[in-house]
Amino acid sequence: MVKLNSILHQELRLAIISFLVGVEWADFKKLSEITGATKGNLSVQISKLQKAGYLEVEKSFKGNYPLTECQVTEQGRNEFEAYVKSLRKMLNL
Amino acid sequence: METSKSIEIIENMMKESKRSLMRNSFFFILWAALLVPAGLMEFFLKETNFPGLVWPVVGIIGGIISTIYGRKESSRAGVGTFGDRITAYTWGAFGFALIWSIAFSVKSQYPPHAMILLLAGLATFINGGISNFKPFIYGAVILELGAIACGFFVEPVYHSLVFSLSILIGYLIPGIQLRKIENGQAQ
Repeated sequence: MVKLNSILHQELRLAIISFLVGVEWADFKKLSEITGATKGNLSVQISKLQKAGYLEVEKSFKGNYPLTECQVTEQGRNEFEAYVKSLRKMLNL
Repeated sequence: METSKSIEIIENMMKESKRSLMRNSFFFILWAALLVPAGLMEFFLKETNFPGLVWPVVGIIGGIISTIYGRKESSRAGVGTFGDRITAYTWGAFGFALIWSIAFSVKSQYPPHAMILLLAGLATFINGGISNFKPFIYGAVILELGAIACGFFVEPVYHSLVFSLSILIGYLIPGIQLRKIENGQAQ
Protein backbone atom coordinates (compact mmCIF):
# COMPACT_ATOMS: atom_id res chain seq x y z
CA MET A 1 0.00 0.00 0.00
CA VAL A 2 1.46 3.33 -1.08
CA LYS A 3 1.39 6.04 1.60
CA LEU A 4 1.15 9.68 0.58
CA ASN A 5 3.02 12.46 2.37
CA SER A 6 0.42 13.92 4.76
CA ILE A 7 1.94 17.40 4.69
CA LEU A 8 1.60 17.65 0.91
CA HIS A 9 -1.67 15.73 0.68
CA GLN A 10 -3.78 18.78 1.45
CA GLU A 11 -5.29 20.95 -1.29
CA LEU A 12 -3.83 24.33 -0.47
CA ARG A 13 -0.40 23.09 0.62
CA LEU A 14 -0.13 20.98 -2.53
CA ALA A 15 -1.15 23.97 -4.67
CA ILE A 16 1.50 26.19 -3.02
CA ILE A 17 4.31 23.66 -3.49
CA SER A 18 3.22 22.72 -7.04
CA PHE A 19 3.38 26.36 -8.08
CA LEU A 20 6.66 27.11 -6.32
CA VAL A 21 8.55 24.15 -7.81
CA GLY A 22 7.97 25.72 -11.23
CA VAL A 23 9.25 29.19 -10.29
CA GLU A 24 12.13 30.59 -8.30
CA TRP A 25 10.08 32.56 -5.77
CA ALA A 26 6.63 34.08 -5.31
CA ASP A 27 5.21 36.62 -2.89
CA PHE A 28 2.21 36.16 -0.62
CA LYS A 29 -0.05 38.24 -2.86
CA LYS A 30 0.73 36.11 -5.91
CA LEU A 31 0.15 32.87 -4.00
CA SER A 32 -3.16 34.20 -2.72
CA GLU A 33 -4.15 35.21 -6.25
CA ILE A 34 -3.36 31.87 -7.92
CA THR A 35 -4.71 29.61 -5.17
CA GLY A 36 -7.78 31.75 -4.41
CA ALA A 37 -7.20 31.10 -0.69
CA THR A 38 -8.02 33.54 2.11
CA LYS A 39 -5.07 35.36 3.65
CA GLY A 40 -5.55 33.64 7.00
CA ASN A 41 -5.68 30.12 5.58
CA LEU A 42 -2.75 30.78 3.24
CA SER A 43 -0.67 32.12 6.10
CA VAL A 44 -1.39 29.02 8.24
CA GLN A 45 -0.51 26.59 5.43
CA ILE A 46 2.68 28.47 4.52
CA SER A 47 3.74 28.27 8.17
CA LYS A 48 3.12 24.50 8.20
CA LEU A 49 5.20 24.03 5.05
CA GLN A 50 7.93 26.22 6.51
CA LYS A 51 7.97 24.25 9.79
CA ALA A 52 8.28 21.02 7.79
CA GLY A 53 11.31 22.50 6.05
CA TYR A 54 9.65 22.54 2.63
CA LEU A 55 9.57 26.32 2.26
CA GLU A 56 11.92 29.18 2.94
CA VAL A 57 10.04 32.33 3.88
CA GLU A 58 11.57 35.79 3.83
CA LYS A 59 9.71 38.67 5.42
CA SER A 60 10.59 42.28 4.66
CA PHE A 61 8.98 45.63 3.95
CA LYS A 62 8.37 47.29 0.62
CA GLY A 63 7.67 50.91 1.38
CA ASN A 64 5.16 50.74 4.23
CA TYR A 65 3.79 47.36 3.27
CA PRO A 66 4.95 43.96 4.54
CA LEU A 67 6.35 41.67 1.86
CA THR A 68 6.49 37.88 2.27
CA GLU A 69 8.46 35.95 -0.31
CA CYS A 70 8.38 32.16 -0.48
CA GLN A 71 10.79 29.76 -2.08
CA VAL A 72 10.71 25.97 -2.12
CA THR A 73 13.69 24.28 -0.41
CA GLU A 74 15.63 21.32 -1.75
CA GLN A 75 13.88 19.13 0.81
CA GLY A 76 10.52 20.48 -0.36
CA ARG A 77 11.41 19.76 -3.97
CA ASN A 78 12.52 16.19 -3.13
CA GLU A 79 9.36 15.53 -1.09
CA PHE A 80 7.21 16.88 -3.92
CA GLU A 81 8.93 14.60 -6.43
CA ALA A 82 8.45 11.62 -4.09
CA TYR A 83 4.77 12.59 -3.68
CA VAL A 84 4.25 12.68 -7.46
CA LYS A 85 5.99 9.28 -7.77
CA SER A 86 3.68 7.82 -5.13
CA LEU A 87 0.64 9.25 -6.90
CA ARG A 88 1.75 7.67 -10.17
CA LYS A 89 2.23 4.33 -8.45
CA MET A 90 -1.25 4.52 -6.96
CA LEU A 91 -2.77 5.33 -10.33
CA ASN A 92 -0.54 2.86 -12.19
CA LEU A 93 0.76 5.59 -14.50
CA MET B 1 -8.40 14.31 -0.78
CA GLU B 2 -8.90 12.12 -3.86
CA THR B 3 -5.77 11.28 -5.86
CA SER B 4 -7.44 12.61 -9.04
CA LYS B 5 -7.89 15.96 -7.24
CA SER B 6 -4.16 15.96 -6.40
CA ILE B 7 -3.29 15.45 -10.06
CA GLU B 8 -5.66 18.24 -11.07
CA ILE B 9 -4.11 20.67 -8.56
CA ILE B 10 -0.56 19.82 -9.64
CA GLU B 11 -1.42 20.23 -13.34
CA ASN B 12 -3.20 23.55 -12.78
CA MET B 13 -0.40 24.99 -10.69
CA MET B 14 2.25 23.81 -13.15
CA LYS B 15 0.33 25.66 -15.89
CA GLU B 16 0.22 28.78 -13.70
CA SER B 17 3.97 28.67 -13.10
CA LYS B 18 4.60 28.21 -16.83
CA ARG B 19 2.49 31.30 -17.56
CA SER B 20 4.71 33.29 -15.23
CA LEU B 21 7.59 32.79 -17.67
CA MET B 22 6.09 34.78 -20.50
CA ARG B 23 5.63 38.47 -20.01
CA ASN B 24 8.40 40.17 -21.92
CA SER B 25 6.64 41.13 -25.14
CA PHE B 26 6.76 44.77 -24.04
CA PHE B 27 10.55 44.90 -24.39
CA PHE B 28 10.53 43.50 -27.92
CA ILE B 29 7.77 45.85 -29.08
CA LEU B 30 9.41 48.85 -27.38
CA TRP B 31 12.85 48.22 -28.87
CA ALA B 32 11.45 47.45 -32.31
CA ALA B 33 9.39 50.65 -32.16
CA LEU B 34 12.59 52.58 -31.39
CA LEU B 35 15.09 50.75 -33.59
CA VAL B 36 13.12 50.43 -36.84
CA PRO B 37 12.56 54.22 -37.20
CA ALA B 38 16.11 54.84 -35.95
CA GLY B 39 17.52 52.74 -38.80
CA LEU B 40 15.32 54.50 -41.32
CA MET B 41 16.22 57.93 -39.92
CA GLU B 42 19.89 57.09 -40.11
CA PHE B 43 19.48 56.10 -43.76
CA PHE B 44 17.53 59.20 -44.74
CA LEU B 45 19.75 61.54 -42.70
CA LYS B 46 22.96 60.17 -44.18
CA GLU B 47 23.55 63.36 -46.12
CA THR B 48 23.50 65.40 -42.90
CA ASN B 49 26.30 65.66 -40.34
CA PHE B 50 24.54 63.73 -37.62
CA PRO B 51 23.02 60.45 -38.91
CA GLY B 52 24.65 58.45 -36.09
CA LEU B 53 23.11 60.70 -33.45
CA VAL B 54 19.87 58.70 -33.48
CA TRP B 55 21.57 55.67 -31.85
CA PRO B 56 22.64 57.16 -28.52
CA VAL B 57 19.27 58.99 -28.30
CA VAL B 58 17.33 55.78 -28.94
CA GLY B 59 19.64 53.80 -26.63
CA ILE B 60 19.13 56.20 -23.72
CA ILE B 61 15.34 56.41 -24.18
CA GLY B 62 14.98 52.62 -24.54
CA GLY B 63 17.33 51.94 -21.63
CA ILE B 64 15.42 54.23 -19.24
CA ILE B 65 11.96 52.94 -20.23
CA SER B 66 13.11 49.29 -20.09
CA THR B 67 14.62 49.72 -16.62
CA ILE B 68 11.54 51.46 -15.19
CA TYR B 69 9.10 49.00 -16.78
CA GLY B 70 11.21 45.97 -15.80
CA ARG B 71 11.29 47.00 -12.14
CA LYS B 72 7.57 47.79 -12.05
CA GLU B 73 6.61 44.57 -13.83
CA SER B 74 8.78 42.43 -11.57
CA SER B 75 7.25 44.05 -8.50
CA ARG B 76 3.68 43.77 -9.83
CA ALA B 77 4.05 40.14 -10.93
CA GLY B 78 5.09 39.04 -7.45
CA VAL B 79 6.89 36.05 -8.89
CA GLY B 80 10.34 35.33 -10.24
CA THR B 81 11.38 32.39 -12.37
CA PHE B 82 14.77 30.91 -13.28
CA GLY B 83 13.93 31.81 -16.86
CA ASP B 84 13.43 35.46 -15.88
CA ARG B 85 16.86 35.49 -14.26
CA ILE B 86 18.58 33.94 -17.28
CA THR B 87 16.72 36.35 -19.57
CA ALA B 88 17.75 39.36 -17.47
CA TYR B 89 21.42 38.28 -17.47
CA THR B 90 21.33 37.57 -21.20
CA TRP B 91 19.96 41.01 -22.08
CA GLY B 92 22.26 42.64 -19.53
CA ALA B 93 25.24 41.02 -21.26
CA PHE B 94 23.77 42.06 -24.62
CA GLY B 95 23.54 45.69 -23.46
CA PHE B 96 27.14 45.65 -22.24
CA ALA B 97 28.44 44.06 -25.46
CA LEU B 98 26.32 46.47 -27.49
CA ILE B 99 27.93 49.55 -25.98
CA TRP B 100 31.43 48.24 -26.72
CA SER B 101 30.57 47.07 -30.22
CA ILE B 102 29.21 50.54 -31.02
CA ALA B 103 32.32 52.14 -29.53
CA PHE B 104 34.44 49.76 -31.60
CA SER B 105 32.53 50.63 -34.78
CA VAL B 106 33.01 54.36 -34.13
CA LYS B 107 36.74 53.76 -33.66
CA SER B 108 37.06 51.60 -36.76
CA GLN B 109 34.69 53.82 -38.82
CA TYR B 110 32.63 50.78 -39.83
CA PRO B 111 28.79 50.67 -39.49
CA PRO B 112 27.73 48.81 -36.31
CA HIS B 113 24.60 47.18 -37.73
CA ALA B 114 26.05 43.71 -38.42
CA MET B 115 27.45 43.49 -34.88
CA ILE B 116 24.22 44.71 -33.28
CA LEU B 117 22.10 42.25 -35.28
CA LEU B 118 24.51 39.43 -34.42
CA LEU B 119 24.25 40.18 -30.68
CA ALA B 120 20.48 40.77 -30.79
CA GLY B 121 20.01 37.49 -32.65
CA LEU B 122 22.02 35.64 -30.03
CA ALA B 123 20.02 37.08 -27.12
CA THR B 124 16.70 36.56 -28.93
CA PHE B 125 17.63 32.93 -29.64
CA ILE B 126 18.32 32.29 -25.94
CA ASN B 127 15.08 34.08 -25.03
CA GLY B 128 13.15 31.91 -27.48
CA GLY B 129 14.71 28.76 -26.06
CA ILE B 130 13.94 29.67 -22.44
CA SER B 131 10.34 30.66 -23.10
CA ASN B 132 9.90 27.85 -25.64
CA PHE B 133 8.39 30.43 -27.99
CA LYS B 134 9.22 29.44 -31.56
CA PRO B 135 8.61 32.88 -33.21
CA PHE B 136 11.59 34.22 -31.23
CA ILE B 137 13.77 31.41 -32.59
CA TYR B 138 12.70 32.25 -36.15
CA GLY B 139 13.13 35.95 -35.35
CA ALA B 140 16.67 35.25 -34.14
CA VAL B 141 17.45 33.47 -37.42
CA ILE B 142 16.22 36.55 -39.33
CA LEU B 143 18.45 38.78 -37.20
CA GLU B 144 21.46 36.55 -37.85
CA LEU B 145 20.72 36.52 -41.59
CA GLY B 146 20.53 40.32 -41.46
CA ALA B 147 23.94 40.35 -39.73
CA ILE B 148 25.43 38.09 -42.41
CA ALA B 149 23.91 40.26 -45.17
CA CYS B 150 25.40 43.43 -43.62
CA GLY B 151 28.74 41.78 -42.95
CA PHE B 152 29.30 40.21 -46.36
CA PHE B 153 26.81 41.09 -49.07
CA VAL B 154 25.30 44.57 -48.69
CA GLU B 155 27.01 47.92 -49.26
CA PRO B 156 27.57 49.77 -45.94
CA VAL B 157 25.32 52.61 -47.10
CA TYR B 158 22.31 50.23 -47.04
CA HIS B 159 23.13 48.56 -43.70
CA SER B 160 20.64 50.70 -41.80
CA LEU B 161 17.82 49.58 -44.13
CA VAL B 162 18.71 45.89 -43.70
CA PHE B 163 18.91 46.56 -39.97
CA SER B 164 15.40 48.09 -39.83
CA LEU B 165 13.90 45.29 -41.90
CA SER B 166 15.55 42.59 -39.75
CA ILE B 167 14.33 44.21 -36.52
CA LEU B 168 10.84 44.59 -37.96
CA ILE B 169 10.61 40.87 -38.81
CA GLY B 170 12.84 39.47 -36.05
CA TYR B 171 11.61 41.59 -33.11
CA LEU B 172 8.32 43.30 -33.81
CA ILE B 173 6.33 40.42 -35.33
CA PRO B 174 7.28 37.84 -32.63
CA GLY B 175 6.77 40.56 -29.98
CA ILE B 176 3.21 41.23 -31.20
CA GLN B 177 2.48 37.50 -31.36
CA LEU B 178 3.68 37.09 -27.77
CA ARG B 179 1.62 40.12 -26.67
CA LYS B 180 -1.52 38.47 -28.06
CA ILE B 181 -0.78 35.31 -26.06
CA GLU B 182 -0.09 37.31 -22.88
CA ASN B 183 -3.34 39.26 -23.29
CA GLY B 184 -5.25 36.02 -23.86
CA GLN B 185 -3.81 34.54 -20.68
CA ALA B 186 -4.61 37.63 -18.65
CA GLN B 187 -8.34 37.38 -19.52
